[in-house]
Amino acid sequence: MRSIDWIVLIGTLSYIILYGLWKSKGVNNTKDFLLGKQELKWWTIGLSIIATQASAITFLSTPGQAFEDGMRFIQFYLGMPLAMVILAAFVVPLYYKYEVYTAYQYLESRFDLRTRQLAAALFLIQRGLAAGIVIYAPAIILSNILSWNLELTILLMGAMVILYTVSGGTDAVSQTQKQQMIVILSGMFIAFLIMVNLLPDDISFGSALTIAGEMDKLNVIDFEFDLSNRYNVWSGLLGGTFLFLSYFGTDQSQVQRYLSGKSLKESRLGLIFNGLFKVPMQFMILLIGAIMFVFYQFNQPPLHFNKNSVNQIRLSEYKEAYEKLEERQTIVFNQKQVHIRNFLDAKSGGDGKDIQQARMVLDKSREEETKLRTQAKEIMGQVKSIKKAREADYVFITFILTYLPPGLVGLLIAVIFSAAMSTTASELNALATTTTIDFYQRSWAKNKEDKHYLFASKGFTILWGLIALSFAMVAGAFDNLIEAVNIVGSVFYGAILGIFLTAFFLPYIRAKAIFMGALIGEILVITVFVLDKMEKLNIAYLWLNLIGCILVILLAAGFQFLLKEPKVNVPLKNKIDQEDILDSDEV
Amino acid sequence: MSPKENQIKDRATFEDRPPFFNTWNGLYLFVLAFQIIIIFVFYLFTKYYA
Repeated sequence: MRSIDWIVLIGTLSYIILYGLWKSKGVNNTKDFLLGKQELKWWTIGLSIIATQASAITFLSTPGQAFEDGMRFIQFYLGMPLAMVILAAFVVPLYYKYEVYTAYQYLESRFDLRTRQLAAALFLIQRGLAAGIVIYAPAIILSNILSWNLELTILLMGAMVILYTVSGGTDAVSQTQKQQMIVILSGMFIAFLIMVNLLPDDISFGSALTIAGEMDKLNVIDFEFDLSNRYNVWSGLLGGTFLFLSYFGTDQSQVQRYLSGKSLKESRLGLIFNGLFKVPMQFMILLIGAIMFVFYQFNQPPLHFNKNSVNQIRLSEYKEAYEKLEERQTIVFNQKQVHIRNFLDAKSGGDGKDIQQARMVLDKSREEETKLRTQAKEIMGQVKSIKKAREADYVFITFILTYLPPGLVGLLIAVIFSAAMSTTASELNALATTTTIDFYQRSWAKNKEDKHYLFASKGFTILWGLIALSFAMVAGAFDNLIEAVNIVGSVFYGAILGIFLTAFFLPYIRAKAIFMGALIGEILVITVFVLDKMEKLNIAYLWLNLIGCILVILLAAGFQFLLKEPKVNVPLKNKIDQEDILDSDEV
Repeated sequence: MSPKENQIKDRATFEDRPPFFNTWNGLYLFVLAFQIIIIFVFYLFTKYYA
């Protein structure tokens, strides 16, 4: 990175943090710290929701995913609009009605303290682990590519987030996220424009799409129903809808974002904005990957995008074998360019026979290139010092560093930092809120002054920040840690959603039945997952959300029928707690 | 009613209309129509470039 890049990077990040601190000044009670001053408009809520979900890995890996696998990943998001409508229509009004700080508070008023704290504990485990990964994942990529010190990168990212989250609470998180999203979207758009501009003069944008389509990168929609296929319309619409209902409706890191709205209307509109904006946004990010693929058909890419791994090969006994593959790659690359242009000529000529022949020749050179890349990966697998890493994560950052002009490199690195910080800030904020409200204030230290809870909330934010940083520091020691964290999410989300849907829509089901249903349902989901891992079943992970949710609801209904728990009026205990905090504002 | 109680009541006012489509149901229908249209547009996009 050049000096101008450092100036842009430091300037952008400093501006965002100072802006967040300035906009959230005057936070001096627990309610303002945890829920904000509740003055946010729908666009701030909407951007905050998007920024919370989209971590740095979203912007680093998604273009790389399209580069490798095409745009079919977009189907993962197809259930988003429906999920947002259901939440806006049914769930948000309930949270407003019961004036909750956390989603889990509602469960106590509906069921009992045991169910509330079970759901809250599951959230803390999941998010506590995920917060570490959100920092670690971009830090390892940046340190590999830019030769930065990994620990220092993690510490820097973590310290900046802790600073403004502890200082300004929820409002600081939401205000910085608005700025971060502006930087992220502008940065990605500029990168896209430069990429299109860098295509050869004889390759128009339309031709680029034709090439991407010919090479299976524009495979956006697949209607074939296949349980083992991770991304098709049905897994997106069914599994995806349930996943998003669970994530946006029951995960405190998201619930907290829209509870800080000025009114129910603003919160609902924030969610609707997310439902309308998210799919086109992901489409654009994936399109960047598809166009980047075309760009690399005319600009020779490295044989492998992880520079650090390649450097290690060059120091190993496999150096010669790797360099031979690189020589062969150059020859294939030059031939392929001719074949692509021949294909485009044949296509514009319109003769079916010519097109077919040109396509066959092109496919052959693509096959050979794929073979060379596979061989390079096999060589890497033999060098023990090289850690397994997804190559797709390194494609976009390599493009940024190689082809973007000075200044813009700094801006795009700021995009990556912003995305990592925005997600982590929401997570720390939510972890601290849940710990304070659902455990500390509810069970461990009741009836204290407001200042006490404000101090505790800030303390828990620092504590969770330090846990996330520690976890990020050791994450590299475990090969499958990232996968493990994702699995924990998929395995538990369905059951949590089942508990919440039962609470919202099945009023005759009581506490004992839902607790037993949730427990047994969760065991069955874990069994399905284990059978899948043992290859006795073949079910993509998105379906676990749907299976978990349906199992919990059916089992709870069954237990309610068998137990015949009497219908009782459950007092809204959490409302009393809420009043305690509101009253103590005056203390 | 205290100002705080008034504030809570305002925040949870259900009758508040959306700025577009006059009713919430109208807005929700628009979002669902958007979902169907976008899947259809993606399908055409895939078909065209396949």
